Amino acid sequence: MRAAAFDYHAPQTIDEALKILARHGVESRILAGGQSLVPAMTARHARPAHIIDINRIGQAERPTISGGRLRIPPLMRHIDFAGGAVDGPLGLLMADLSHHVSTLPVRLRGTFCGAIAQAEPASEWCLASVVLGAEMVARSAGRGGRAIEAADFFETIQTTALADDEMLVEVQIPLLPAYARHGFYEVTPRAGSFALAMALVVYDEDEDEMSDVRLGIGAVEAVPRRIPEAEALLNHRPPSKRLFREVSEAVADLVQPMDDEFADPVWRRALTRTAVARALERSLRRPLDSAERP
Amino acid sequence: MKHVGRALPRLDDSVHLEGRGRFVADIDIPRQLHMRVVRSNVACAKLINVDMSEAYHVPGVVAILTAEEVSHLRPLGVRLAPAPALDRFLQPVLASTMVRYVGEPVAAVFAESAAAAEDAAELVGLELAPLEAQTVPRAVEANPADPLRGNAAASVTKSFGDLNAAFHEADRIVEVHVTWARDAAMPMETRGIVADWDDARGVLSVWGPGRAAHWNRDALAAMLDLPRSAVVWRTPHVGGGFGAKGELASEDILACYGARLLERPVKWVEDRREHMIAAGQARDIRATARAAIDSSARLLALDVDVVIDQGAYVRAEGTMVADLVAAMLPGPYRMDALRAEAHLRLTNKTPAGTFRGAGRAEAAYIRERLMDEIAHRTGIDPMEVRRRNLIEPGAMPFERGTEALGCRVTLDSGRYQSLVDQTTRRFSLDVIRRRAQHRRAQGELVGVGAAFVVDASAPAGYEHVKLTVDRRGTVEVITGAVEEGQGLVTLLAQIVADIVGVDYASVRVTTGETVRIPFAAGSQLARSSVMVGTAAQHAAETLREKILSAAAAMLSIPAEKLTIQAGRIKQADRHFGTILDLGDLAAAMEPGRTMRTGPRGAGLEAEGFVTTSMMTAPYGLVVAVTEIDKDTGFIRVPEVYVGYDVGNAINPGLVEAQIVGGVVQGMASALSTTLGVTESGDPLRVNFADFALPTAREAPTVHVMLVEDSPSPANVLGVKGAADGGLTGMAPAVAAAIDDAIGIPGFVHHLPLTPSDIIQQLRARKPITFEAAAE
Repeated sequence: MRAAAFDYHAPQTIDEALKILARHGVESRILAGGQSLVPAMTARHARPAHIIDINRIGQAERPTISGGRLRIPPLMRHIDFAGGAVDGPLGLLMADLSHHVSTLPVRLRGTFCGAIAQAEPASEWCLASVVLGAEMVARSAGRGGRAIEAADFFETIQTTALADDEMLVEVQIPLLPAYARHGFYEVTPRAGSFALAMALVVYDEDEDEMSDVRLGIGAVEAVPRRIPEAEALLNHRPPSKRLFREVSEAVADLVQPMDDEFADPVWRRALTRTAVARALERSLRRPLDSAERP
Repeated sequence: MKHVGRALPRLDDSVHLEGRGRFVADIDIPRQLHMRVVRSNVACAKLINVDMSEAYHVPGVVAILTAEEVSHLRPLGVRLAPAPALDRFLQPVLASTMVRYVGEPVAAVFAESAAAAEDAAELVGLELAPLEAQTVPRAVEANPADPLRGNAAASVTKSFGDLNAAFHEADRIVEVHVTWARDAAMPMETRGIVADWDDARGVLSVWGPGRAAHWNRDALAAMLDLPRSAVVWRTPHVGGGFGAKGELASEDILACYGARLLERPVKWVEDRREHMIAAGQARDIRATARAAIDSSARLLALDVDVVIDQGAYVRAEGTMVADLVAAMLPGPYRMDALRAEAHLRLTNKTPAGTFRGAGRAEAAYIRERLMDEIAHRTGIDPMEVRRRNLIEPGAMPFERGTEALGCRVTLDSGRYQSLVDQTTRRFSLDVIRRRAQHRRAQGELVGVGAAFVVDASAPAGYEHVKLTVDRRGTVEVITGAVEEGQGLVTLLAQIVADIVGVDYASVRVTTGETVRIPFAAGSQLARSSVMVGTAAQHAAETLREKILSAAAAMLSIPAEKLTIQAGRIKQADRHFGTILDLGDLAAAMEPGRTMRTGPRGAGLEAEGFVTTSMMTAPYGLVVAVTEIDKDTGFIRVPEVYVGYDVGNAINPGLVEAQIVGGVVQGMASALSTTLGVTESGDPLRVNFADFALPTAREAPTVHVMLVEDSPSPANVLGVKGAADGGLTGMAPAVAAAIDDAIGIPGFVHHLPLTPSDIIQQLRARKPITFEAAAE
C-alpha cells in the first residue's frame, strides 16, 4: 500500500504548475485533495512519475461571483459548499449536493475541481455541472486558456476533454434566478458509497408552472447527461404526481444503464426511475435556508 | 465497592480513544527489515519459474525467499480439530509447483524499507501456466487440472437415534435448501507480525496478535527446531480479531524464519487488499435439511447435509467449522434422531478459516430456516413451533448426543421457554408484529422475523492465571489469553478486585505474554470470560487467604477477624483504622525478609488453574425488523431485539457491547458483505469501496435484554461466553423478517440477499402494491 516512486513538485502559482505540466504531460498528475488519486497510487493502479501538488497555490480556495456566474477555484473543498458559502438558490443547491459527496473525511479534503477532472460517473458535481450548464476553464502553458461546455467536457468514465498539458483552473456556473427550485435524489447502497443512480432537476417556479426545466441523470450511464425529452414533458406544466410518474418512466425508458459489479442494467433502470421520481418530489419541498441546516 | 455485575467502564478506553494504543504496526526495532509477500494473481496454475533477477536490482533488497529455500519447513499444522487425513491438504509455506488461489504466497521479499520491499515484490516475475479454476465445490474426485489431490478434504458426521424409523413415523417431512455466500472477519487492524532473532542469546522474540500465543510459540519452536524456551511471544494491542487473526499463517512463518536466517528483525504488516485475498475466510455453505415432524409439529428427526467450500487448503482451524456446524444443528430443540454431515470441499478460492460464530451461525441459519418452513407448512405461528420443540428446564443439563471439538455437547442449563416469554413481554413483541402487519396493510413492506439460538462456548480446556502483589500494593493478573477489544482486561480486574478487596482500576492485567505464564489455551470460542475468569476467581481466593493468614501472623490477630478494603487490611468489626497496607504486607513477604511468623519465601503471589469437560451453552432469542424500499429493493434493518442469557454477566456493559457488535456484523453478513470470485477465480472485492461494511447509518438500533436465569453449573462463576451472541441468530432472523415483509414464506434461501433479488421478485409477482404505492 505504498505508491511507486515519483518526483514531487510543489508550485506556488498556477503558471508554475502549468510549466511543470507542460514538461511532463501524461507522465504527471495534479494533486489537489488526493481523495481519488492517492488511493489509486497506493494500490499502484496509477503510477505517475511526477506529482504536481497544487495545495500551495494562493487564493484558490474561495469562490467569487462575477458576470452572473459562480466561479469555483481549483482548491475549493466539497465541505466549503456545505455552510452557505454561496448565496441564493444556487448556493442551496450546492449545499444540498455537498452533503451527498462521499464521507466526511473525503468532503474535508477533496476538491470540487478535482471531482470534475476525475469524471466519475457517480459524481454529484459532474451531474450538477452538466445540468447547470457550467463552463470548465482549462489552461495550458503553451496555448493559454479555453472554456469547455460541461456537456462536451465528460467523454467517458474518468475521461475528460482536458489535454495532457491542461489544468482545470476554474469552473463557472451561471447563477440561478431567485425563484429557481431544485430537487436531487441519489440511490446509494450505503452512506458514502458511490451512488447507483442519481437525478437532479432544476426549474423556475413560474406562477403554477415549471419553466426553464433542466433535468439530468448521473451514475447511470458512463457520463452524466441532461434528458431533453423529460425537460420537454415538464416545461410549462404544473407539477403533479401523475406528471412526475410519467417523466420518471420516460427517463427510465430512455437511458442505457451501465452493467457493473454493483448493479445490472435492469435494476439500474428501476433505480433511475426511482431517482428521477424522488428528485422531482423533493423539488416541491420548501428549500431550507442554509442557516437552518443542522 | 462491588465490581462484578456492574457495567463499569473499560480500563483501556482512554488509551484507545486517545489513539495511544500500541499495535503491531507501531512496533519498530532498529535494523529491522520489511517483508512483502509475492502472491499468485491466478487462481489455478502450474508454477513454472520465479524470476528474481530484476527484483534484486531494487536498492535496499536484502533477500528473496521462494519455495526452494523453505522446502524443509513443514506445512502449517492444524491447531483445532486436527485429523491425520488432512495432511495432504495443508497449505505449504510457499507454493512450489502449483498455485491454487489468487493471493497464495509464492515468494517473500525482505528489504530495508517497506516501499523497497513492495517495489521489488512487483518485479518478481511469476511464470505461470494457467489451468481451469474450480470455483464451485464439486463432488468429483479431483479437479482435472490439479489431479494429485481430491476435492473431498474431510467429512464430519454427527448422529444419534434411529433416523429411518423417525422419518418412517413422520406425519410430514419438511425440507429446505439454503446457501450462504463467502464472508470474512474484517477487523480494523489487519494481520501483522514483528520477529527478532537474538543470535547471542538464542531467543526468537515475536510480537503478534495471539489468540493462541502459547500454541503459536510451540508451533514456531517445532518448525524452527528450537526449544520452547527459545521462543517468546508477546501480544501488543489488538484491533479486533473476530476469528481472522492470531492463527499462524505462511506470512508469520516466513517473517520468523527470515529473521533467524538473515539475523535481522523482520516486520510484516498486511494491507487491506491482502487481508481480503489471503486471510482466512468463512461461511460459503450450501445445505439440504429435512425435518421429520409429527402431527403437532414436534420434531422427530433432522437429516442435514452441509457442503462447506473450504477454498484451496486446510489451515490451522482444521475441521473445526464442519465439526461445529454438524454438532450444533439440533440447537435448543428436542428430537429423537439426527444425522448431520458436513463436507469440506476444496476449490480454487482463498482458504477458509474462522469468523465469529464459526459453525454455530451456519447451523442456526440452516435450522431456523427449517423451523420457519415447518411453521409455514403446518400453518402454526413460527414462535409457537419453536416453543413446542424447546427443551424444557427440567431436562437440564441436557446431553445433546453429539460431540464438538472432542467435547460432549451438553446444554449445561437453560430456561428456554421463559426467555421467549420474557423477551416477548419486555419488548412487546406482539405489538411490534401487529404494527408491522398494520404497515403492510397500508402498502409498506415491513416484516418481523425471529431466531432462537444456542451457542457453544468454552468447550473442554484448561486455563491458568497468576496473581502477584508488589510493594505498592498493586495487584497484577497474568493470563495467556488476549485482549482483542472484547474487554477481557476489565472483566478480569473486576473479578479479582472484588475478592482481593481492591479497586478494579488499580489492578494491572498482563495478557498474551508467553514468558509470564507457561501455558494457556488462549482466546477463542467465547472462552475467555468463562475459563480465564474462573481461573482468576480461584487465584484471587487463594491470594485472599494468603493475605489474611500472613496478616494474622504478623499482627497476632485471628485471620477471621480481618478483612481487606480498598487495598488495606482492617479489622472486620471496626469501621475505621487501617492496620496494614497490602503493599507493606507484600514487601514483608518478599524473599530475604525475615518475618517472625507466617508464610515466607516467594513473595505475595497466587495461582489459579481450571480444567473443564463441560462446555457452556448461552442462548438467546433474536428478533429483527426489516423495511424494504419497494422502488429500489433496499433492505433496512431499523430495529433488532435480543434476549440473551449468559448465566452471569460479570460486566453487563461489555456483554451488551458484544451483542450489539455481533448483531451489526450478522446483519452485514446477511445483507451486504460478501467475498465472491469470478468464474476464473478472481476476487471481486478487494477494498472497502466494494466490500460494503455497514456504517452507523445502516446499523440497527439494538435493544438488549440480558438474562441471568440459568447460571452455568460448569464453572463457579456461573458464566457463559458472550462473544457470539447477537451474531449467530441474525442471518435467520433477517431472512425470516424479509419473508414476512414481502409475504412469501421461504423466499430467502440464499444470503446475502441483494436489493436486485428483491426487485426481481416484486416484478415477477405482478399484482403487487408497487403501482398503487406510487399514487
